[in-house]
Amino acid sequence: MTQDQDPRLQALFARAGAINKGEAFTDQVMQQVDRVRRKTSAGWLGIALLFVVFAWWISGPIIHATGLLLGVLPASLVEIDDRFVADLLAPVNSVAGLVALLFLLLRFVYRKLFR
Amino acid sequence: MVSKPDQISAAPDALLVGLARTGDRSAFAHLVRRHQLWIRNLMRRCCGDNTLAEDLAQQVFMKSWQQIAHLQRPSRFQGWLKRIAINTWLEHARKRDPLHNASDHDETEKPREPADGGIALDLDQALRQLSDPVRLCVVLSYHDGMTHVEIAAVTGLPLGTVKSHVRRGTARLQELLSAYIEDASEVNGS
Repeated sequence: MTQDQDPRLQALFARAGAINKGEAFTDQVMQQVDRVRRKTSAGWLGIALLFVVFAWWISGPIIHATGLLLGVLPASLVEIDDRFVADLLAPVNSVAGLVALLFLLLRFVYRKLFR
Repeated sequence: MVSKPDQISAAPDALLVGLARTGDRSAFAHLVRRHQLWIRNLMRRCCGDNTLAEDLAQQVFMKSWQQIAHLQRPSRFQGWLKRIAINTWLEHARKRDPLHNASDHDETEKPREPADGGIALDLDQALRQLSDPVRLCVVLSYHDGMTHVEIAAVTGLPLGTVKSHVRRGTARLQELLSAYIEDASEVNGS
């Protein structure tokens, strides 16, 4: 018995009895569980279908954009007549090199300012 | 040789929880079978309405099914389930008419006369006269034999509030069920 408890009330609670164990309750809960599982599966299937449709729809523009980007990135910034020197400086003397330099610069500035 | 259903029904909660987490339906059904009585009785005493009590008890098990993957210590399933049950009841109580608990009890309510087989009904009726938090504390204290500290832990109420709720609830029940209590005293005395 716990603190401040009236034993007569305690006896009354015991006499009032309890609900009997029933298989029907378990069945009802499990039916609900099955319903939720079905809904969840249907939800995931829907999301997967949407993803496939979206991927199919977006794949054309992505491939096109990638092609354009690949055409632009190796373009030289400064024209160099000597073939050997042009190849040697290609990693720096290109749009890709410029983008990489810009990225490194921005990262350096960000780190200086915010860390 | 022990059959598989027998093995499952004899398995500890922690094992069943582990299986249920992987989506094992029958393991969860065993957990429901094992713990339904406590939940249904708690809800019945708190609601005083069997249909609503059954609905809330089902909600408790549905929540436990949906959240079982987040249970960090499977061996503490029972305590975790109790907490879900109490929170479900508190949520339900909060959603109801805010004026429901405006007055702690109806002073015009008269003490009940003992009737054959009516103890459960009269007890439910008397419990309904208490405000929701008082009723919950009284039920946890008398029906489940929980200590004040345990009730405070499981409900999130301050210990002092729990003590005061149990004291007030006890006094009100003694008043409302005086006929039953006197009967019991006479039987014990004779």
